[in-house]
Order: sequence, then structure tokens, then C-alpha cells
Amino acid sequence: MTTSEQDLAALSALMDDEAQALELRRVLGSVASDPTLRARWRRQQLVRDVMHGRRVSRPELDVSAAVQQRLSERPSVSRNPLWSMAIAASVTMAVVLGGQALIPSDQVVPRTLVSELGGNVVPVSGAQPVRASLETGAIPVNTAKMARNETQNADVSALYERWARERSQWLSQHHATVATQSHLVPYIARVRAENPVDIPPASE
Amino acid sequence: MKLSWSTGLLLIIVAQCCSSLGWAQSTDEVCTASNDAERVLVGLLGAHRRTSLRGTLLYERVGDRQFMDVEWSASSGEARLRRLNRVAEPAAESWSPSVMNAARLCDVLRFYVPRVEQGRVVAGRSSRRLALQPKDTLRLGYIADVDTETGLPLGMMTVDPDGKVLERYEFANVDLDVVYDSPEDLEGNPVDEATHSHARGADVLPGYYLVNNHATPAAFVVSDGLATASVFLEPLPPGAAPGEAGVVEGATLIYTRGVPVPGQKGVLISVLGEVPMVTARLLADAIRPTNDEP
Repeated sequence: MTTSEQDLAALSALMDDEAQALELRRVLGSVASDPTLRARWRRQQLVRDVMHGRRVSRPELDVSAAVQQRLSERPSVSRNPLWSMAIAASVTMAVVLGGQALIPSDQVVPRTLVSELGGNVVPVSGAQPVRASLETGAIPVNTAKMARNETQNADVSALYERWARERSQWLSQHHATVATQSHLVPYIARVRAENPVDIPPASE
Repeated sequence: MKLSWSTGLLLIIVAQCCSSLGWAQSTDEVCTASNDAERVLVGLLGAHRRTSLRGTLLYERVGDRQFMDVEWSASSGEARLRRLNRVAEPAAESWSPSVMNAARLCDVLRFYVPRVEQGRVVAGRSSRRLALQPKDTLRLGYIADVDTETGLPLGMMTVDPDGKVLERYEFANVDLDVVYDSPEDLEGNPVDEATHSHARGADVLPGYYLVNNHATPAAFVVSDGLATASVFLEPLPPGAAPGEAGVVEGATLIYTRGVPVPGQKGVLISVLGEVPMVTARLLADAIRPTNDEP
């Protein structure tokens, strides 16, 4: 895979929220210096927004510069997988903020667009959007390191999933109490919090 | 879970950057329903304050289907619930929930687009279908069958950003009794949010602001006016590796993340709420350790 192909694949992964932090920094650097890639970024962002039913009003603007700026302000801690995730989330935040900042509050009718995937992309109420990638290749990763850590990662994931399910039971009643204040139907939160159990002692 | 650990934490207001981008909203905002969909929304927001009900409800989500008797008294503010599929002669659960009011209109219109269309007959009553489509990917969508006469939701679906139905409920039969008549809300007159809205804290994410925090269990609660998420904090068990996981049960997501803190105990963050995964992650990102651990 050439560098350009890698950039396109990484850009698609970024739009699917699947890019790793280091890859993210590299492709954003390429976006800044490559007008073609930058145009691709804008088009993909626009298509994604429309496919998800978001209003698009100023497609000529993009937020890649804001994302690049946000990344440059953060220390490089990408060796820690957790903080890598945090960086990715922060980028999502920046994209969300940037995108939202470009959308005026007045009503804007979504426009019909012709995507690079062929065919019209029109937001239809109730339709099932389809995620699309312009490239089929995966993001380059260190497969040797992944293989070594696969078992350990699976164990950690299983542990956290068990903790999540336990806390869903333990904490649902507490959440239901406050959720009724905001839900349109005050008894639905109570319905969800079925079979609450006693709060356990601290997990330490 | 003990509060002591949580005192060593501070919910860093990510909205500091939000504010700088113009996200912070004034709490004394006054909103006016300016079209048919917004008027239906106003009626829906205030419906449980005006109308008592008694009926049988069907609630469904993946792997779960329940019938239940529901009673709601607008005059006393008490609710009763009997789950009909669990045990014979089920006991009633009684409680006094807080309910929304029309003053929430400002919050809702900020991040949801209401659309209304002709509805269907639900529990023998005519309804209009109100869709609340989120303006971004940080929240779920709602489709409600709103009673034409009272504004009460006779049925509702919660949908994810891809349009997938996560949970739904619908009355099979219902008796309604209008206790208070407050037509001013329905006429599109200005609604003063400051005098009607619940306590409102700092903005945390776009549209989400703090509404509560409590000690046992240690938690912060955020809302965008419709969706609510609770962020629970507890010590990370010693030796636990950092990680994360998310489990979806209907419209409710439970997300856990373990964060080691150098030189201190780590923290296990659990986000429980009717929000998408991206929102749960961003809320977990908003938790930072501080140096004032007791």
C-alpha cells in the first residue's frame, strides 16, 4: 500500500472513529499539506453528516485544522492504549464541536448530495444509514504486538464487561431516580430499573 | 462505595472549551413555540403536570417484554406500578417522581428538531406522531404518539443515531383525567425557563449540563433536557489493568472505564444512561484526578 493509499484508508478509518492516535496524527499532517486529501476529508465529512441526518449548511468549511490544533496541544502519550482512546475521543469532541459551530441555529433544509460512492445520498426519516469506506484495506497495525497481547486484552475486556453488567444492576435504581426528572414519561425510568439489588461495598 | 475517594476527583468542565466556542447558554432564556410541532412538544412536556392516568402499558426492549398497570396522579404527584408478568398478584410499587414541564422547551429545541405528522389510534384514542430528531450524534432520538386531546404520550420509541429502535412502550388501554388546565402553554406563549426549570449546573458536553451530584454512591448526573446520564465513581481494584467496556440494554447504556492514577488509587468510572457510546466516553473523559485526596 502506498503512502497515499494509507492516507486514504486512515482517513476512512478516522471518519468511522476507528483510527489510532499515532495514525491520526500522521494523516492529519498529510491533510494539512495535501490539497487533494484535504478535499477528500471535507467530502467524506459532508457525506457522513448527511447520512446521519445532520443538517449541513456550509460544506465549504472543514474542521480538520481545529482537530490538528487540538492534537498539537496535547502531550504525546500514545503508548498507553487507554490514553490513546482518550485522544481519539477528544478528536471526536473536536469534530463534534467544530461541526456544530458551523451549523447556524436557524432551520436549514438538508441538501441532496451526490456521493463519491455513486448514487444520491439523501437523509430519509426512518431509513437505515449505511457506513461506507472508500478503501477496503485495514489501518496498518503492529500485528506481532497485537498477537502477544490478544489473550490479555480479551481477559481485560471480559472483566470490564462483567463490571459493567454488575453495575447496571447495582446502580440502575439510583439512575432511575434522577432520570425521571428528565424523561418525557416519568414512570419509564422506573420500569427500566427492574429488580434493583443492594449496593455492594466498595470494590477495593 | 465511599465518597472519600470521590473527593479526590474533580469533574473537569470540558465545557470550558465549549464556553469559549459559544456553547454556554443563559439560564434565563425564554422560548416560544413557533410552529405546530413545537406546540405539540410544549403540550407533551407539560402533559403529566395536567393529566392523571390509569392504564395498562406494554414495554419492550431486546430480550424483555412486560405488561404493567400504571397509575399517575397529577394532583398528588404519586405514581404506582404493578408488573403483570413477574409474579401472580404483584405488589404495587409506589413513588413520587419529578416530572418535566413546558419550561424544558428551550433545552429540547437546542439539540433536537421536532417534527409532527398525522398519528394513529392508540388505546382507542387519536394521536399525533411527534419525532424528536437529535441535531448531533451525542444523543438518542424519540418518536412519540401524543394524545390529541391531552398531550400525553400514549406510546413512545427510543431510537439510536442509525434509526434502530432500542426500546418502546405503548398503552393498551388508558383512562385520562385532566386535573389542571393550563392552556397558556399550548398557545405558544413565552415559557420562562428560569422560573420553571430544575437546578442547572455547568455545561459538561454540548447540550449536557450538571443537574445533580450525590455522595452515596459517588456520582455526577448530567442531562440535556431529555436524556440523562449518571457518572459513578469508585476506586479501581488494586492491580486492575486499564480498560473499558460497554453494555447496551434497550435504550440504556452502561459503560465502564478503569483509569490508573500514578501515585494514587485508580478510579473506576461507570456511565449509566440513555445516551450513545460516544457520549459515555466523552463523559468519562471529563473525569480528572485532583491532588486534594484526603
